[in-house]
Amino acid sequence: MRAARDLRSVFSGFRKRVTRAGRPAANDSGMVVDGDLLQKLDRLSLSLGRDLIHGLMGEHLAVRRTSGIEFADYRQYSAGDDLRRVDWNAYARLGTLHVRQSQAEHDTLLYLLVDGSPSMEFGQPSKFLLARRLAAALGYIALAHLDGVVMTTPGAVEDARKPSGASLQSSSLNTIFRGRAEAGSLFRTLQALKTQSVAQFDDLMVGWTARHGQGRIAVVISDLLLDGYRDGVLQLLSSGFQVTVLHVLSSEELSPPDMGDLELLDSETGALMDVYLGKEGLDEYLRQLRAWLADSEEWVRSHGANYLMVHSEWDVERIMLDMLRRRGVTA
Amino acid sequence: MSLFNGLGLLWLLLVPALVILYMFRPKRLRKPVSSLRLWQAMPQMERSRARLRRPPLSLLLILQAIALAAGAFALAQPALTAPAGRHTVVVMDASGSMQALENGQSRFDKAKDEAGTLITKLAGQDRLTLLRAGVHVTTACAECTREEAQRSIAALTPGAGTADMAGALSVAEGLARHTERGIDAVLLSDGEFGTLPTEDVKFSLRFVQIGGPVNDIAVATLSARRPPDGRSGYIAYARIENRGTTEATIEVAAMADTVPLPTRSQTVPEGGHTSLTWQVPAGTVRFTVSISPQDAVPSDDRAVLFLPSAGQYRVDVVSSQPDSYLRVLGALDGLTAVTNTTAPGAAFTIIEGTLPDPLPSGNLLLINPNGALMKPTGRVAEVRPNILDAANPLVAGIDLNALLVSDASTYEMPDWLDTVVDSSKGPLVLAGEQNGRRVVVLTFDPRRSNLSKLAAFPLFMANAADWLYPLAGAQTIAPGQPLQLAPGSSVQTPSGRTVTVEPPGLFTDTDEGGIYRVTGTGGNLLLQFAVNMADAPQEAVSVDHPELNNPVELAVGQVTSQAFWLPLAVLALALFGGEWLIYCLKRGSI
Repeated sequence: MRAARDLRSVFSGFRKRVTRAGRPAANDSGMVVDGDLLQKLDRLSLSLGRDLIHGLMGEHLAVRRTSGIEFADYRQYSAGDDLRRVDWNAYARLGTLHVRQSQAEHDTLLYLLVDGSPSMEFGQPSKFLLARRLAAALGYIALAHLDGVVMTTPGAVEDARKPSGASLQSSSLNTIFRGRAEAGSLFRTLQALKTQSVAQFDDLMVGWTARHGQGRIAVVISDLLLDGYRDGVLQLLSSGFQVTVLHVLSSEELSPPDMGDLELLDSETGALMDVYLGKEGLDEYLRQLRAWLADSEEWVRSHGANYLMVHSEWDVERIMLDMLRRRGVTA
Repeated sequence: MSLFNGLGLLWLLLVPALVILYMFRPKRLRKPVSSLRLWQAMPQMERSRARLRRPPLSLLLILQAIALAAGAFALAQPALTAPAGRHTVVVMDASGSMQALENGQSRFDKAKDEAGTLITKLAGQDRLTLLRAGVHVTTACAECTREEAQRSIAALTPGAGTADMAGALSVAEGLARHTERGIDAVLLSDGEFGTLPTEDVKFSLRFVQIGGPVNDIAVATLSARRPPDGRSGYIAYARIENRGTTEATIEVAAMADTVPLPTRSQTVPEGGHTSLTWQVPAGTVRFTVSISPQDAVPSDDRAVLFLPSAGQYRVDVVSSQPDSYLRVLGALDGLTAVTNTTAPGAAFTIIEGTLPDPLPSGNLLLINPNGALMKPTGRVAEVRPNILDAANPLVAGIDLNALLVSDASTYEMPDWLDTVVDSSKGPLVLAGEQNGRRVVVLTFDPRRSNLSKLAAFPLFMANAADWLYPLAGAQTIAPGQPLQLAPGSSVQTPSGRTVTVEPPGLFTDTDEGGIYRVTGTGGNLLLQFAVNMADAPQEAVSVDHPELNNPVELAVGQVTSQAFWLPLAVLALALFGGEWLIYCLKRGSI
């Protein structure tokens, strides 16, 4: 119960910054979490195939039962909960139904990859902010249901100006969070991140399979502007991971505003390119963009992973409660 | 099309300058993007590194070039040329005879109808100048449009005097000189005027005769004098003329104020006249004579006199020895002589010797003057008059042959003075009008001559008083005759208009026939006077003037210009505005 109060106090520090509509609030301060949204996320859980569950988890039904459980926390009963897990002694004392939650010996892990390369800084709000918000929301769902969260943010570093309670050794290394009590650490860690350099994803994702050796759920949040993600995704899929790719793009990438003689500067490589963006050039750009998006989606889906393209301006709540739910990522 | 300012076209050089500016390859705008990955597949355009390029055929360049060209043309002040409109000058005879009625319509109204017909024929570019020829020529409307001319015609009224057609012809001639294409002048008149000089008429002139023969019996003269035997009251004299073609029997009525005097029946032969006198009772202010039955010119069937009371008008005398003037003026009814004052309100002023500066307002009788107005140039002795302008009212009925001037001055003669009595050594009596002020000059001191001993002296002074202030004798003046009144007073004309007399007090608006009332600033009645057609000798005849028909083919091919720089300037501004709007839309600022 104390842990729950701690979480509330952490959440109370965050104001509602993201509108419920698709457009960002004009005074978006860049906070990665929203207290109201977290309350709604309490009703969600990660949707896992039954064959993915190998240990005893609090809420995920497994094919194979486990014998060893360890009490972790109480939470209020909600419709659909297994009545066998209701603590009747607590009911006798308090008059309200509470469900016992336990920690499995072999945790179910959510692997989060948040692209921290400089290209993620584009958009208003930036793609990187949306990626962190999605990571915070997904991580909270996992932690709230006693799943573990492994997060890596290739290319990002901690912003020294912001306090962080997380014990990050390096932003691109795997960081593990367990239990609802560490949700605050997850949020603070995400809040303190900023983009810095380009990093390849493949090695990191291959590292997930090597270190843990068990297939679980993996969510890749990136603009996919580097092709280095495909080998890693293939490795995860072959290792039994349920993979979801959230493809984040900004409106200026989807419809460039500037027309005329331009000298384009690549934010990641520093390369320059001269273009004249007239009406015909813009049409050609959009045609190429559509082809690339279609190719990315087709590749991801054809290999059995989930794919969802999101705009940096979209509302996190809409993505979490509607779009990801319809695609079976959350339930 | 013509250009008022051809140098303005130099601004067209800005158009090639603009094109040259566009030929400079603009510096590319550096734009950071998330990744070039999305752009790599774009077809790469080979871009020249040369600083200059072929000017792009962009909408902005076209708009800017058109705007500059429009602005340059606007500065050149282009004008459209079009066939010149005709300039018609219509002279309306506003004499008293134009009031003659024929078939219930006056000649003046017929003339207005004729003028209206002319106005309806005006084309869009045509202009019309309307001259009213009364005692004076006035411009009712100058180079006005059809609508303006119609309004001016409707407002015209006839006067009671004669028509100064010679003056109107001079005005038309002046207009013709100042018009490239010339004018088309039309005189609308009954022709009751003498032969006009037409040798200087180089423009198209047409005389339209208005009216036909009518029978007119008129009160041709009405005057009053004190009885010579010293009785009180006045003796009034009237002359009735039959200007028709048949003998007529008429009734002549007279009224002393509101008291009717016995009516007299008179038979007047065609072209003849009859004279009547009345003993007007003492104290009568207004004496009216009228004849009946009414004829074609009702306005001359009646005449009115306002009789002055004794000493009603003041005459100022500025002289070191005023006795002789006071004695003579004292014998004239209606006048009171006052010495050594020049206060405003005098009927006229007699100044002997040195002239004051400034001169008093009103008319002047200057005796042997010396001042800015009349500068003596020398003196002559033993002068006798040898030339006399007998028609001049100043010397009417006077015999000056016995005059001997022992010492007279000679002067630089101002052009506004005419010689009335001349001599072999220089003028002795001069008279004239300067800025509406009547001035009589005696170039000698009466005491240095035998004038004061002659019987002609009081007659000359009476004539001078009549001429200098006509109301002093009988309060009637001829139409158009100016009158000196107190500045600030108001005059109500016979038609009901009220005219305020501006300084220095000259009132000239006396063209209407009838009774005028003069009131002071406090509304008190100062005097009344009458303007009678009888004082402007004229006959209601209708005379053709074939010499006034001078058809001249107007020059063709002359053009007028209509500037249209303003639409061009507006177009240039609109184009610049549109160019700015397009630029902002492209930049996404709007």
